[in-house]
Amino acid sequence: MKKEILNQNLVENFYYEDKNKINFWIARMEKYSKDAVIQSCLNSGATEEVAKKVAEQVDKFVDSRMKMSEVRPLIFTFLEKYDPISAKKFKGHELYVRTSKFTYEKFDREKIKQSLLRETEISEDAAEIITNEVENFIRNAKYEIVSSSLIRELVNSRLLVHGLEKIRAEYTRIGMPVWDVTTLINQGSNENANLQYNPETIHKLIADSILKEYTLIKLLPKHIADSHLRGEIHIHDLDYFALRPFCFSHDMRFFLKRGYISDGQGIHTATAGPAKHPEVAVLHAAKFLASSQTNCAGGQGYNWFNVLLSPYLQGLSYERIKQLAQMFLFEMSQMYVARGGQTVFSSIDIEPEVPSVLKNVPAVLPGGIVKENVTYENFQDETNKFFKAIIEVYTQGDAKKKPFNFPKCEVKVSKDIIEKYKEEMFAVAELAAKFGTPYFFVQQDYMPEYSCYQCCSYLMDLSNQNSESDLYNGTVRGGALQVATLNLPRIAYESRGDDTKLFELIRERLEIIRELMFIKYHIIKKRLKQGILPFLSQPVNEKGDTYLNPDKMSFEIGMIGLNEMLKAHLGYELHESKDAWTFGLRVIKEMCDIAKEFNKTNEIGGHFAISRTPAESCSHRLAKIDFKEFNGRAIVQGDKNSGAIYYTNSTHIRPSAEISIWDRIKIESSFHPLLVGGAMLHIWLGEAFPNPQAIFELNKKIINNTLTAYYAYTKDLTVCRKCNFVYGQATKSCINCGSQEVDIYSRITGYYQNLGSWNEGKKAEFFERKRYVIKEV
Amino acid sequence: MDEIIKLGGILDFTTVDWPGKIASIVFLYGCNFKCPYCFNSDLVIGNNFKEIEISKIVALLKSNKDFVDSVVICGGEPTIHGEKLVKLCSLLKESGFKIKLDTNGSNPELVEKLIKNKLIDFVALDIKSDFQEKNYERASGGFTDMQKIKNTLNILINSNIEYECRIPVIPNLNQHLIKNIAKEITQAKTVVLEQYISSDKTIDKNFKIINSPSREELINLAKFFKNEIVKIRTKEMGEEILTS
Repeated sequence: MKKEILNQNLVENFYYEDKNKINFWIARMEKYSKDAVIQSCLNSGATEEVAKKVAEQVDKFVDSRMKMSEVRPLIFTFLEKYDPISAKKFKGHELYVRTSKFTYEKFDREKIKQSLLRETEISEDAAEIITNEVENFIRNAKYEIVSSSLIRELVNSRLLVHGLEKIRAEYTRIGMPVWDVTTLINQGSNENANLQYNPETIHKLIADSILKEYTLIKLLPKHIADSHLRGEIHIHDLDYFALRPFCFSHDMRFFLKRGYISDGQGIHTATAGPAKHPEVAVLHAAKFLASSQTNCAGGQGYNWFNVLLSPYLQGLSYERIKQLAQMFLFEMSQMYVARGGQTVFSSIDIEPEVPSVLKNVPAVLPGGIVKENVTYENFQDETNKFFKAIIEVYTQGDAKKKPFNFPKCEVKVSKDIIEKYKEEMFAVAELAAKFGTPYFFVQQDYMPEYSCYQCCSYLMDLSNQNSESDLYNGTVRGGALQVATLNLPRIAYESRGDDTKLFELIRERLEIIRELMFIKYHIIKKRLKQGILPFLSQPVNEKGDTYLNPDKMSFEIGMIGLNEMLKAHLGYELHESKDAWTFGLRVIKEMCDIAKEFNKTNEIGGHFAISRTPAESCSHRLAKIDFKEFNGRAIVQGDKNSGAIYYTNSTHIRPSAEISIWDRIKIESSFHPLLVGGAMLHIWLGEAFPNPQAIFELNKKIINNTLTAYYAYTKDLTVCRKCNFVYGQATKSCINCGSQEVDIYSRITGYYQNLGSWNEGKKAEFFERKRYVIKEV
Repeated sequence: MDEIIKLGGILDFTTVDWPGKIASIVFLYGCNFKCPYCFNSDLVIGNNFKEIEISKIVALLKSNKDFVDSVVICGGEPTIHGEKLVKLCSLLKESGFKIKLDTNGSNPELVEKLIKNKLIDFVALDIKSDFQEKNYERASGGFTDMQKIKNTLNILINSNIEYECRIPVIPNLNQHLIKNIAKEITQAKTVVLEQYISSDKTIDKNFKIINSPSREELINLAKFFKNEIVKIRTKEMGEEILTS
């Protein structure tokens, strides 16, 4: 009795990490008894008669103060005398296994066999042979303890020896080398500049690595996985491929009408009814994006942000409206919770007037009420005030006077708007001149009359809507189910100057991407059914349609390095000859035609769209692979000696090209009408204090005289850690106090982030960017 | 026959050189001053130019007219090119450009002619020192004909076009004279004090290592000026209009 209490204390005194060992120790401390001896003989396969005989013999030599572990050699000696086979098994029981469930268990060969049969398509006979071989190996090696992962590795090596590669692939274990985990913990990773080096991030990256590998070996057929690994294509956010759709643009009316349920079910969290007060509506808007981010891989955006919230602002002073704008911006740039401790990758679309497409749509009013005769047209004043307030808050910056990185601010403009709303557009120009914050969505003549952009800048046609449609229902939503990028320079290297071969390869690789997209489509359908995407599975109507509708999502296909492809194929870069430019247009047109063809023959759902992809990590990854593979022939930008190399993004001109800003705009924007899935023109400013009036004039010219669909100015900003001074150029030390402790911010691809966290390729691009600059001040 | 001019270079995009306008800058080569602090020395004593037909410059700028309809002509000193400058301006005017001229004020006759013929829209006149010959000689590297500069200033004051007097504030050279300069140019409508930024390319190497005057110093110096519009330009805050 006393002894047992002692044991108990002993158990309590174990540190947490030692608790795993308790089973093992308890087994070792089991007291001797005649019954226990009989039982262990029976467990080893001895007959009852033999078991009893052994127990009698053993009992002559020991007493009850001994432990079973001390008696075992004696049991073995007698058992071997009467039943050698059982004795062998009995000895096997001395081998302990450290299992994946963090317990210690006695070795049991049956477990190997059963797991092989359960997890793979192996035959019973083959399983028996493999099990025997592994058991023999382990016994001969005379381990006292083995881990289940070691046993699995041994099984895999035997499977390989027998040529059972397919079985091995099913049976293998995925995970990370100890070294990689140590490196991650000690150094973090620069693959995504938005990720801070913190514990959440380390968890995320470790999980990412397992899910990436899982996707490559389990979900994708070998030829698709290989195509990605060889660098022919790049599958974006592979870590989220198995579980999440890519990005999502939301309709705020969905929760304004029904209330907000943060887990999508109301089981793990509280359920809120429709917001009645402006503050609550704004908070719901912020939290909704965070919730959705837990179900999605990429960006989360709102269309018509200021328009749909305008009914909640009725009768409020400008100061209060500004306070609300400030609240939202701080929520979105401070909730450090999403995808491994980063802010939600969010964006808001704003416009100075109620767009014509919404004018006659009944508005969702405070409390989620809808009245037929109150439409959004009634809230033009509030819409406009909210627009101004949002721009003003962005222009002020945070408490340190530095800009808000998120939510991305997307301003819808058109020829009409820039004429009609001079004051508002001037304020936007001031913001662009100060921080480079706003993105400009241009409603061009070649676009559908009523269209709305989504966060990855996909263009949705909203013409021909009726009262049953999403527009009236308050459920205009969508995004990309998956994004993949085609490595264009690689195609040029492989086709060796042959046009026919080049276009063949484009088609071939796009077909691989099509197959990939269909796999993703079926995966997401399955996930919805499984209930693994609870937030996106919320019903939107009585029929039970889900908020995420895979049939309405897009398959986004991007391209990297058109410029390097042209140089390799024709000998000229995009900006160096008219022929190269024309050929570039032909390549993209061909991609569009193939995508159209895919859509025509598509019998499931979703549709293909050619677009510019952000390519933050893939411009570096693919350049590195190609440089290794094709060495001298590969055309890459950056520093070849240090390996900080990259490809020019999408259809852009080489960032370092010495050409006039006007030629850059003209050439790059000529691709925009083709890129229906989204385009982007970067204008890198080198002036520390661009004149807002001049930026305003330049906006007018870009909107009126070019085909540009989407653009932004990028200013490099230096923020001093000591005195908080923000300066509009990249400098080594603070221009105000001289401190060397400065952070440089710039737009890496689709967002602003600290240069220190950029990947090597992108850093090289940063230093090479041709900035349009006159002189210091 | 096409006339040839010495071109230092063209910068196709600035939003700050002509406030409120997107402009290209044409740098013409050569200068009659040798200001010791000058950081465009390539255009003054170097050999960094190419000879190019005036019509070519205009054609180049015209190809970007969709975006940029304003041109800043600076140097060196543009007025030393005399009739060639007139030709350049008139061709640009024919193509519909707005033109800003940067000058040191040493050629009032030419400036007058350009204004009279409506060939320029804005003039930035450099005032490098007070109008004491000895001081100006030092600041400009040898120029002493004060009357020329005074005449140029008067032409601008009596004209209808926009202009500004730019005063570079340079320690050890003219910073102590700013108060006197203020007395000389009381009639000017717009005055801009510019913060000096040292450069590797200064003509007199002693000016390489001079510290810039601070923004606060400029704000204090600006108090001497009672002109209608007083501005400062600093690396810390860009252009600011000071209200008295």
